[in-house]
Amino acid sequence: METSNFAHVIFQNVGKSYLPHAALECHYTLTQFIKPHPKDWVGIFKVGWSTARDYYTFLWSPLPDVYTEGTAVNRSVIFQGYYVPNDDGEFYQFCYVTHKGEIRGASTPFQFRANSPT
Amino acid sequence: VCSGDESVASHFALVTAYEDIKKRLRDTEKENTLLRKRVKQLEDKVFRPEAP
Repeated sequence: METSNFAHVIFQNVGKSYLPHAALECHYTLTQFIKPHPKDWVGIFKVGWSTARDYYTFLWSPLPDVYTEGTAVNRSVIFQGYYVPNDDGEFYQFCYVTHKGEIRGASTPFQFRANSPT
Repeated sequence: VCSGDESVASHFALVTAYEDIKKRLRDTEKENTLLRKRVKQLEDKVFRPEAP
């Protein structure tokens, strides 16, 4: 697998930190190199994870209403406050995982912290 | 998918996070230095006011 495979999904405007117990919106772009599948998902992973099963929480990635193969599409998911981690001092990142369990994108890391700018 | 690919993916994601945190540490250290300087300046102003 080439390294570039891991950048087929690009996470946009990822903050340095997010409020614990608050809804978290995650925006990402599926580049033309990936064909979305209804069983693809976006997970929040603790930095240093070793398998796709190590996710903290996940959401199915919604399919675009209209999809033309070979084009890029913007998608977003909203993690509800009761599913996101607490202020625990850990770093997390979003990862896009295909229905086959392949990781096709990883975001920059973020923390869950109260009273901290994002 | 073979576990080799997953291991490469896991390593790639960790490197992505590491590079970003390394940059943030540099920025935070720079800010720390600036804030120390600023505190020193303010302390000097308060405790050692210039002679009239």
